[in-house]
Parts: sequence; C-alpha cells; structure tokens
Amino acid sequence: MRCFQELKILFVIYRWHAVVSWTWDAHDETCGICRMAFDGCCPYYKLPGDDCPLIWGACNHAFHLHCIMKWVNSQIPQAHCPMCRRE
Amino acid sequence: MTADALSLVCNLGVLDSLSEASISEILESWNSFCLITETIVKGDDADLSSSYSKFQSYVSSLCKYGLRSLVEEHFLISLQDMLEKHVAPKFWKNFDAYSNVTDLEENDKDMHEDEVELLLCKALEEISLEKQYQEKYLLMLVKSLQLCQDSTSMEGHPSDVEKFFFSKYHLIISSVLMTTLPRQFPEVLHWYFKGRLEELSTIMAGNYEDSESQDRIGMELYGKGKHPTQFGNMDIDGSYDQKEILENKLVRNIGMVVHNLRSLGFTSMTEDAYASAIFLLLKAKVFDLAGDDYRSSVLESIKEWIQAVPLQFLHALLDYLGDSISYLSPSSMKSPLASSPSSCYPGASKPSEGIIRWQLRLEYFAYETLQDLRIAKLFEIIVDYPDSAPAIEDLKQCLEYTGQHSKLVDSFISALQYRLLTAGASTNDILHQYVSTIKALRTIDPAGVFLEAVGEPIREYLRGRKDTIKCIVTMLTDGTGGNNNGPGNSGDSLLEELNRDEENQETAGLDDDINIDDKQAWIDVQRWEPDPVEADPLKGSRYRRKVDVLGMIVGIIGSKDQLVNEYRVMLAEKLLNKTDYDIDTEIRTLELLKIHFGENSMQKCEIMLNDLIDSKRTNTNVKATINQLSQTGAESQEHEVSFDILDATIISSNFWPPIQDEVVNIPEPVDQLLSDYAKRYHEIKTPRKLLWKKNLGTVKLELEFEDRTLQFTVTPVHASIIMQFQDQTSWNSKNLAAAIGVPVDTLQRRISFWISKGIIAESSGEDSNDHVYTLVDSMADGGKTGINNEELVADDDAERSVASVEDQLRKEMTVYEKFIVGMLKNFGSMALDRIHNTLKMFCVSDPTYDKSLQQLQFFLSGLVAEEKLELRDGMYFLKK
Amino acid sequence: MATMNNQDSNNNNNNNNRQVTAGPPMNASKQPLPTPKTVDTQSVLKRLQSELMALMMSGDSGISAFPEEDNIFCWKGTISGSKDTVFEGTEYKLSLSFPNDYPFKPPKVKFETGCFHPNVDVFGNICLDILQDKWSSAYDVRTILISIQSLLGEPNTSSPLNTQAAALWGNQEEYRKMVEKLYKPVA
Repeated sequence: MRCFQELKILFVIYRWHAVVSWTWDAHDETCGICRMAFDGCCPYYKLPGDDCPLIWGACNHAFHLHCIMKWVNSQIPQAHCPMCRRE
Repeated sequence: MTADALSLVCNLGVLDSLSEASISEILESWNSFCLITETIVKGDDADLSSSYSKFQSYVSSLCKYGLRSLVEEHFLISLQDMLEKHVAPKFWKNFDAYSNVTDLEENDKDMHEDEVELLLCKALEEISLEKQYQEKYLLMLVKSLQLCQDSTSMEGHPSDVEKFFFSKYHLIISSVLMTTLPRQFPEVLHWYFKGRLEELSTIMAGNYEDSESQDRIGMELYGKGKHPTQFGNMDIDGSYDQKEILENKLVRNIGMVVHNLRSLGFTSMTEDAYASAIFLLLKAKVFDLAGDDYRSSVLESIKEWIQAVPLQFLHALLDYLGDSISYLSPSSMKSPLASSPSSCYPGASKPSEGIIRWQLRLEYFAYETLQDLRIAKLFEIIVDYPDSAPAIEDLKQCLEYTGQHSKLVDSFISALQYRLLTAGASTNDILHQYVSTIKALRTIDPAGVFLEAVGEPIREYLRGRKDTIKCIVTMLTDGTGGNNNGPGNSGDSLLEELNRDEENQETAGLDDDINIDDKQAWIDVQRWEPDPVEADPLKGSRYRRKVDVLGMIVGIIGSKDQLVNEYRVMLAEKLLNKTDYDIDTEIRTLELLKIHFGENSMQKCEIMLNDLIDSKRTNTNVKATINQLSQTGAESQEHEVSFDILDATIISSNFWPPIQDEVVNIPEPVDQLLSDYAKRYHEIKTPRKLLWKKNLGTVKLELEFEDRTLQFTVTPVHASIIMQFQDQTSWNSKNLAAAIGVPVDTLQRRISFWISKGIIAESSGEDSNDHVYTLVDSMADGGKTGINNEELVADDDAERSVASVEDQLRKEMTVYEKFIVGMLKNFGSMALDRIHNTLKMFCVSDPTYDKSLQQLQFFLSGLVAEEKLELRDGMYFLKK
Repeated sequence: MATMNNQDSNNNNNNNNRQVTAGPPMNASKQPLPTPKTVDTQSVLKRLQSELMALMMSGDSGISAFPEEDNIFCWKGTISGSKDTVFEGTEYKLSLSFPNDYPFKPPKVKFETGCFHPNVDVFGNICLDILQDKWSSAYDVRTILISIQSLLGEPNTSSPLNTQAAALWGNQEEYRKMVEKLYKPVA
C-alpha cells in the first residue's frame, strides 16, 4: 500500500554525531612480539594510537614499533622478522 | 492510766521513805496535774494563764518528790494521745476524697489539682495551728520544769531542756502521722507540686519572652483566681514586676507548704514529691522543646529552661526555707555548665552547693531524656540529614555526657531492619540512608566503632541486591546523587563532596598519636571519658578523617575492581551519547577516582576520556581538510547535507567495554558523508582507518510541518526510520525493516518512539503479523502547535550501547572454567583453595578474578554437576 | 597487587625516558641492555599472561599448559601423542621455564615424562631448532607445544640425541612396542 499524497513536511538533519572506532590497517590483530592487540598498546606505553605506532617490515609484517626495536636489538648482529625470518 | 500505775509501781522505793502527809500531797498533786494536763491538752481552757500557775505548782510539788520524769512522760503521752485521737484523724480526713486517686486521676485532673492545692493548704494550716498550740503547752511544761530546776539538781542548760522536749515532740508528731499515713498522701503531694510548678513554668515562660502580652496572661491567671489566695490580697501597683510578685507569691506559698510539711516530719517525702514533679515537668519540657524538630539545637534552650524554671524555683524555695546551706559538702563537683554565665540568679550572689547538685541532677536527666528521644527517632533524623545536623550535634553532646552509646546502636539497628532493609525500599534510598548514616554517625562516633556495627546490616543487605553497584557508581559520580528527591541535591557528586572533605581535613594539620589514643578510648568503653566541653569544632573535623566514607561504600561490594568496571560501563554510555566533546566533569571525576582507586585501575577510563579529547581535535582536522576539498572540487552534489552537520567520536575500542554493534542502514547522504570522512581520516592518519558503529551516536533533526516545526534528539536508528518517510509516507513493517536493515522486532520497538510522539500512526496490515506505519500529516491534538519541541529519547534498557556488566560476568565465568580445566589438566588434582589462589595469581586481566572462595566453590560444584569435574577427598579432578 | 601496578606504571615511565635518551640500538646491544630487570619482568609478565589467556581460550586438543602455583615463569605442559603415530594414546608432561628477556630469548623446555624419541635425551632435553637458534619472538607456548607434538611423529633422525631411537625409527611396529614398554605416565 502506497500513499501518494503530497505532504509538505521537510526532514532536516542538522546534526549527526557518529561513533566510530579506529584500527590499524594491519592484517593481523595482535603484535607477534608482545601479544598485545595492535589497537591496544605495547607493554611499554600507556596510550594507544599515535603514541604507540606500528611499523611494517619489508615482508609486510607489522609490530609495535617499540616491540620490534627490542627484538632487533636482541638479535644483533642480524635480525630477522620474527614471523617469517626475512631480514 | 495503766501507764501511770506502772510508773507508780516503779517508784515504790521512793514511796517507802515518805511520810503520810507527803504521800497525800503527792497523790493530790498528781491527780490535779493529770486533770489540768487533760484540759490544757484538749485546748478547752480559754484562760491559759490562770491554769498555768496551777499547773506550775503541781509540777513543782511533784518534782520536789523526784517525780519529774513521771510528769514529763505523762505530759508527752497526753500530747501524743491527743494527736492520735484527734489531730491526725482530722488532718487525714481532708484527703479522704482522694483515697481512689488512681481512678480519679484520668478523669478531671485539672479540677483536682486546684482542689488539692486548696485542701492541702487548708489542712496544713490547721494542723500547723494545732501543732503551734501543742508546742505552746509543751513550753508551759518546760518553763514549769525550769522553775523547779534549782531545787533539784538537773543537768544541762535551760535551752537544752527546751530543745530536748521539742525534738521529742517532733518525733512524736511525725511518728503519729507516719503510722497513720493514708497511701494516697504522697500522690497528693506530687499533684500539688506538679500543679504549682506548671503554674510557675507558665509565669516564667512569660518572663522569658518578656513581652507585654505575657503580662496580660499573668493578669488573667491572677484574675481567674488560679493562684493561692491565702497569702494575699496584695495590691498590684501598676504592671511593674507583676510577674515577679506572682512568682514570689507562688514560691512563698510553696515554701510555706514545704515548711509545714517538713515541720510535720515529711521532709524526705516532700523532697521526693517535688523532685519527681520537677523531673516530670522537665521531661515534658524536653519533649515539648525537642518534639519532631530536628533542624535546630534544643540542648541550649533546655539548659536555659532548667536555669530559669526549676533551678530558680529551687533556689527560691531553699532560700525561703533558709537551708540552702544545709547541702554544703566539701566535694568540688564541677558542672559542665560552669563556663556558661550563671546570670539566672537575680539577687543571688552565688549558687549554693545544693543548687549545683540539683543542677547536675537535672541536666543529667535532661541529657538522658533528650538522648532517648533522639535515639528513638534516629532513623528519621538521619533521613533528614544534613538538615538535621543540629539534632545530631545535640545527641552527640548527650551521649558524651551519659556514655550510653550502646543504646543508640541497638535501637538504630532494629529501626533499620524494620524500616529500611525491606523489599519496598529502593536501593538508592538504602544507599543514601547508608551514606547519611555514615556522615551523621561520624559526628557522634569519630572512630567509627559503632558505625561499624550499625553499617554491617546495611552492607549485608545491599550485597544481596543486584543493582547495588550501579546505584553506588551513580551516586558517587552523578551530580544529582542519583536521587532527585533525596537530600544532598547540591549538584555536586558524592565523590566531590568526599574529596572536599578530605582536603579540608588535610589543611587542618593533625597528629596521629592523639587519634590512636582516642580510638583506644572508644574501643574500651569502660574507660571512656567524655571529651572536654571546650573541645573546639576544628578538632571535630580532625576526628572525622578517620571514618572513610568511600571505603565504607566500597566495603559494600568488597572489591574496587567491580566498582571501577561498573563505572567504566557507565562512563562509556555517557561518552558515547555526548555531542559536544565536553568532558570536564568526567575528567574531574576520573581524577578523583584515581586518587581513591589508584591510577592503574583507572587506566582504561583514562584512555576513553583521552579518545574524546583526540576525537575533538581529529574531527576538526578531518572536517577542515574535507571542506577545503569540497570547495575546490565538486560543488554540485545532489544532497544538501554538508560536512558541517557531521561530528564523530573516535574510540580506541580495545579499551572500551564491549560495544553493541548492530547493523543499520542510515540515510544514504549521511552514509556517504561517513565514508568520505573515513577516507579523509585514513589519508591523514595512515595506516589507521575507521570502522563506523552506525547504530551509535546522536542525531538532532527537525521535522518541518506546514504549521509548526518539531525538533528531536534521537539515536541513528530512530533517525533512519523517520527519514524513510521523507519519500514514502507509508510503510509496512517488513519493508521498512528491510530498508533500514534491522530485524522487524527491533523496528517495532524503535518506531514506538515516533508513534508516541504522534508523528507516525500504526495500523494493522493485511496479514496479522504485519503493521502499517503512516506518517501523520497534521496533528489531531492542537495542544502542541507551533512549539519548538526539543525531545530527548529516554534511555530505555533496550537502547544501551554498551554491554551490561551482567553480560560481561557471564563471559567471565567461561574464562574461569577454561582456566580451571587448564590447571587441572597439567596438575592432575587440586584443592579448592589452591584453585582459588591460582586463579587469583594468573587470571589478572580481562577478566580479573575477584570472586570469593565461597563463590568459587559454588561455581565448581556447578561444574561437578555438569560432569566436567570430579570431587574426591576435597580434591578436584578432570572428569575423564 | 596495587603496589605492583604502581611499580608497573613507574617502570613504564622510566622506560619511556630510557627509550628516548638511549643511544643507537647497536651500542646497547652487546651486553643484553643494562636496564633494570623489573622493567622487562613487567612486560614479560604481561606477555605470559596474555599467552595463558590465549592458550586457555584456544581450546586446542592434545596440548595444554599452565603456570606453576606461584611462578608465572615456570609452566607445566601436557601433550598427547597424535593420532596415527606410534605415540598415539600416550601423554607427556613437560616443563617450560621462561627467561627474563622472553620473548626475545626462547624458554627452556624439557620432557618430565620419559620419552623414547630420537630428538629427546634421557634427561628430557629436546633438540628442536625453534627452541635454539631458530627462535623467534613470534613463537609462543602454544606454537612450541604444537611443534613438539608434531616433532613426536616427525623426528629429525639425522642428528639424534637418542641414537637407539633413531635407529629403531625405521621399524614403526617395533618402535611402537618400545614406546609402550617405556611409557610411564605420571600419576
């Protein structure tokens, strides 16, 4: 049943306050080193997001910046990606 | 005369040495003495002086023969005889009418009081007159005896002899009266004093207020003849000091009565009577002053009244009787009122020791009476707190004086059980009463010892209620205190109030060893001593520090984690509904919570708030750069919605409570905006991207009808529903649900909002399950025309955006189960407490294990029942 | 717990500062970072806790592990022999002990139950590359246990710790008998 009567009613949205969550555009959800969520933060920082960024290696595996730094430091002289062993 | 005969026999030895003449003289004198004594004692003889000389000669002749003791005895016995046979019966006859006092009492008391007064005065006057006569006769005897003293060597001073006889006589009169005392007499006395004191109190009340109208009342009282008239048809010169005259007269009248009673030997009975009358009056006064008014302190006025009425009365009375000094004792009792000026004794330089003792007695009684009165109504008083703070302060002082704190605890706990801890009381009310109780009682009980006892039943009860945590959090953080009709509606949250308290206390500078001493004193009630009266109010706040209100609130739940979690859920709900990024209040609350619960517990909440701050910045940033683009780029977009209308709250979902994600198709233009927004964000914040929670948020929209404009603030789902009617004014439920992308039942629940607003009409469709919704073009009820109607969607439970704590709890239990299975797999068997400890040790975040041993046992027995576990000899095993 | 958490936050702060002010990573690396142990302990703790949670929730059958009563750095593990291998029906206990710089260094894993296997010696030591030079911080308890479980069925006979077992491996029927003969499950 359809009503074709023309109504002079105007709908105006004048404010739309939306809610959205951000996420890292990574393939995985958790950091392979600290096991924390990428969208969370590594054990060394308290605030997620800008303060605890991700870093992608050549192999396209992502880690918390601070975690991979520690891994690289611990693997001197040569560090591999913890996931795929690429340099 | 048997007694006389006996006396003669006893003196037989004397008789032997007497001559015949002497014997006849003795006999004659004796007989004449007896006769004249009888006439004198009967008071028949009008001409006392003539009989006196005869009396004297008989006495002296008898004394001459050494029969002095016989004379004395006979005379006293005659007096006693007279008293017993005539005076006492006559006196008591006056009170025959009151032999059934208890029956009469109820009926017409007032009338009786007046009668009693007149009767008592008259009777006392009569008997006193009799007594005066008898004393006169006694004096005759004394004088006669003194005359013959020279001849017979009598020991002692003449006045000693007199004193001896009079005291003997007084003993006789009082023992005669006492042995014949009718049982109603003490009651009669009590009535008398009660009546007089009330009268006095009325006059004093007049004095007290010191106004002319009171003078008139005094006149009326006088005119009505309510006052005793025995003492005086005094002239009243003008109105000056009329009351004082009345007052003096009354006191004198009472003094007279007391005096008479005392002289009849009723000293202690009289004192009992006026004491009990005074206490009764005092009690009535306390009830009258205190009543059901808790908002003002009455202790001072009670004390003033004690000074003004009973003490002044006693003072005047003792003065009148001239024995105010008789109470003097070496003890140096100190009145708690010693510091207050004792200006209430006009004309008197210093209160006597007796008066001070009375004052102490009266004050103790007043404290106790007020204390009992307040304790009986403590529940109401606390409901009324803090307006009832004066009553609490009074009670505190009373208890410090009486030391009867345990009365308070017992009485209050039973009041709580009857009136608060019942199914009918809302959790909010109980909590508010709990907090008020803490606040009120910490005044009385700074160390919190009694508070502990009183609080436990409330806590115990609240633990059994499901909504307790939620109510606590609301109360702590909400400005309205979660209860609009409750007290403390100041707009500040309880948390802020607590913090303010704390700050105030910190500035007060304290030393701890004193506190410890106090605590000790409170625990050891035996050794408890009242604080010195001069303790200043600043000291009070120092004590207050020791009762940790927040701690006692957390104590209801047992763990702060649960409280924090509940707060997080509530905070999430609140933040998700914000449209202005204004979180000043929340930041303040968080800071306060951090102080109390530690920074770590609040970390997630902090990130949530931080998200709001970041969102505001990012939102501005994203919109600004998009607008630049759209200005340079495609201007000719068909939809008129611009980015100006869109704002977003960007959350770090990992730190938020689980958010309810529902699919909903929002209006196309807005959807387009969202994806543009997300694209722009991705450009700015690469490699971060956005995932919309399209069902969440807030939409403000305006419906412009021909004749009016309506504004609404709704959820996106509501907005999506109504926007569908822009192009098509009638929908059936299935199609509409499909268009919006929600289940039909969700649609039906949500659309009821628009139906209730009269925007959409509902009718049944072709098939019974189908509903047809039609846009209402004009409103039938013209009442709301032309008004700008800002409506807020009520927060019903179905619209929660965050998973409830209960949902989370259910999830927790699954986690615990997996942990338990995991540990049993690797350790074989474990006892209950080892499982408990292991969970505590390793199940530390998301969820944190915070259950009690009992709760765990209950949970484990559930798993045993499900045949997942086995329990053998106190050890749990995995069921193979 | 509260004090521990506080420490945690302090440590994080310290750590922040250290990260900012520390020299190039090359220098700091030779002697495993002279940083306070507690810093790492906290992050190791977090990682082990999240591993435990993940392991508990994963529901893998045939592998399991749980920390000992009071020490999250020492775990007990259980693996069962996979189907269609000579180890089918047997269950082995393992011990895992994690170093303070886990996951940058591998845990020490040993068999507690005697296991007749070419790559396991009589003391329970295991010869497995990922537990030595091929370690990566991306491995965790779960992947270690799965690796050991598959090692049971697919031994590396080229460099055996137990030569007898390596020799016998060719004869699966005899091997199976040997496994059954030597299998002594822990009560």
